[in-house]
Amino acid sequence: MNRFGIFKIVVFITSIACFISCENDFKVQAPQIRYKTGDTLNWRLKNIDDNSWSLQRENSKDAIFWARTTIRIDQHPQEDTPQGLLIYGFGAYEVYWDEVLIGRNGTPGKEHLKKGEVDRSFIIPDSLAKKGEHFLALRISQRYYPDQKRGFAFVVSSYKNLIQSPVVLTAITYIFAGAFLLTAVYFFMLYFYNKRFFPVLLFSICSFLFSVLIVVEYIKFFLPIHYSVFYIRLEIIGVLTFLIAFLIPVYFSIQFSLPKRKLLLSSYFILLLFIFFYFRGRYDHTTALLIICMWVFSIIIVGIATYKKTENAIVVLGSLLINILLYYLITYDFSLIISFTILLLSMFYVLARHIQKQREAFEHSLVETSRLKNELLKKKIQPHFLMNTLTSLIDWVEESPSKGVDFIEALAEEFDLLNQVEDKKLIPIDQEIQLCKSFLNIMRYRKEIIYSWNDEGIDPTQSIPPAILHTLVENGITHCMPDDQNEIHFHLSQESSSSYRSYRLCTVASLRNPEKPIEDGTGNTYIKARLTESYGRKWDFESYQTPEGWKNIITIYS
Amino acid sequence: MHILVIEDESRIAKRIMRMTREFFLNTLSEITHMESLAKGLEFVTAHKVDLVLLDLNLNGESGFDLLKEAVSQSFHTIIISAYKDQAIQAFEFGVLDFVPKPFNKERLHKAFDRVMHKEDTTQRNIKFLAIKKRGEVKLIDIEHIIYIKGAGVYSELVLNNNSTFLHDKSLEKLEQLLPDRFVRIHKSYITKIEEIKTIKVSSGSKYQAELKNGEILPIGRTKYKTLKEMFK
Repeated sequence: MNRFGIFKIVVFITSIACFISCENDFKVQAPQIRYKTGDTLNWRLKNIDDNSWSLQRENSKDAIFWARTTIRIDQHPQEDTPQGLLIYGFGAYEVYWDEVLIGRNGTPGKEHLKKGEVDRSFIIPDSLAKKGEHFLALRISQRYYPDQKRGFAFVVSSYKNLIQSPVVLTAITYIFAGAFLLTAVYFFMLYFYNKRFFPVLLFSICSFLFSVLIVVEYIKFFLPIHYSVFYIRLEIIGVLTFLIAFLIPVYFSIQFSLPKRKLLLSSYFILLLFIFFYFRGRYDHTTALLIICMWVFSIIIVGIATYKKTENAIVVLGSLLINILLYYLITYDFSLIISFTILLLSMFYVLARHIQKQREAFEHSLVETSRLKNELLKKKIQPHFLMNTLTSLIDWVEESPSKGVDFIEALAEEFDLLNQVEDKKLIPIDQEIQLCKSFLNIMRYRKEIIYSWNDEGIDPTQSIPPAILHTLVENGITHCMPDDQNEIHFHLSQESSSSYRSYRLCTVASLRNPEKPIEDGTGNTYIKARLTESYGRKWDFESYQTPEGWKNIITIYS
Repeated sequence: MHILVIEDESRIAKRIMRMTREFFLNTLSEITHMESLAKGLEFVTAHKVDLVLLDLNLNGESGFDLLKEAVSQSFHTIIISAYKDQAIQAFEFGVLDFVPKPFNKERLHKAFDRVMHKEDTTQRNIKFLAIKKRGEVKLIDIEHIIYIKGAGVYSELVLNNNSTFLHDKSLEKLEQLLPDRFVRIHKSYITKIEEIKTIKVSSGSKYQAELKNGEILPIGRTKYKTLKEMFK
């Protein structure tokens, strides 16, 4: 997915959001209501004097009380379009519309059955659904949370609209929920069956939490919730929001390598905890605060990353800023979903880029391994080695056939050893020493110099990459001259501790060109590439001149 | 004949020297073995050397620079190398022969035949002459050369931009290396055949070549006939 791709998706989602929020004709009315505890059926009548009634509901425990108010119908309803009344409120109640009972939500006074729901729509008889003011009386009991004075809110619209709109809205948001659930599962699998890269797991968790959040947020539209359990849903939403508000900045802090991460994240966590508990009970207010904290903290992290020119940070910052804009443009509930979707998409994008990078690095390492393997093989078939060896061999055969045979045997041993190690990344140190000795044996016939070898303190259970000591021996032969006895001596020793082991290979001889610095030739490059291949960065390679000759130290840290 | 072998593989050096002795027998005045070109060139300053047998991969040094340095010297160079792919470049730079490893006596002796003019050098693919100027080796495209004048043991290259350069090789050695288009018209002159405008004969059987740039070069009495043939 390229940058334009993600912006196209963002634009698409934003336009859906606008479309839905414009389409929705949900005008909520919250008129003044007069309450009175007691139960008289006449209180449904419009023309009784309720001036003495209280504007505040008193705690009537489980007793029945009445509420009276007026509701407006702003437009003449279209013909054959039944109108409906949607009531948001706590308690079990009977609804009297213009003195006529049009429905019940539970049974007032007999609430132990917990029937009814928090939001319920009622059909208004056509004859009573004219444009203008209408009188509404409710006969209520509120046995659960009797001290909660939540009040009532109303929507009058076509009955079809009242029933259908929330379902349509839910259907659309559940598409998002499904998408994020799948994303969560996919990345969860990816985390377990691939390299355990922590941001992948975090992303999976965030996606999952978010899909659960959508499900819980919109569950009220199809699952009847009795007002006695109304707060459970809000509590769940609160906890989910808390987790998301914490995890998303954690994700960004890891993805964009925020400095002093642990300190900053723990302070942030404490801030969130404080908000969560200090504003407890003010559900929507608390979640909104948590979300604002999340935006601010995320923008700070991504802003720092953008300032440091971290890759992809600018894309994420852009989407975060769009989210802030949406926050002010669209109603809270829906803007949250849209902005989370955009946010997760941008996280998705960053993660996809990251995984792509990882895959490229992996492919590169495969290529590197086969390149090193080739290089190892090439050591013995490159013309310099092969043709010089063959020329010397011809000469030995012509001059002294029995020596020639010895030479051929030495050559056979070298190729045999090479054959054994050629496709391995690590070989036992003994085998490597064997390879060096056999190479020296060949060079003895070619150069007619006495090459001697000794090693001490070598732990035979250890292994090293193939042909790295061998390469050092080659370098020694190339760059050093024999002493007066026509000898070049090689000495290998090992030094170990619990945290490292190091191999020291000394070439005891004088240098051909002491003034000329030995550059990082192909030999040393090979050694370094092999060490990186097997030990990552946990190695060290030194090579320098000493009064005795040349010294190489390879240190491998455990 | 004074020969220098530059080879870092002792066994191979011995082989080369043995086979060289077998070829030259008593015409060989001196044969020396050195391990590096630097040591070899040091030797050349104090000793007469006619021919160098050079390996192009010496103790980690290799290739182009070694070759350039060798061909700019006064001696003829024969490369003995494991890298056959260097052969084309070596000939372009003006080596007398390129003997790939592993080699046998016949192949090496064939190279010596070229030195001794017994066999005409078939592969005259030389493209450059390497000259030394202020310690650096510079390559001169032979297409830019109008004529070459012998100057004792050196030669003077006269180019089409009127500049002149000294080359350490003698006129005889350059004649061996250069393609047939470069004609020896006089004991002291080699010129490119297409640079000659006319051949003049003046009184007293004095032959002269007038070049396209207006310069007049003498033509040797013995060379006149062959030149006339070519010029037709």
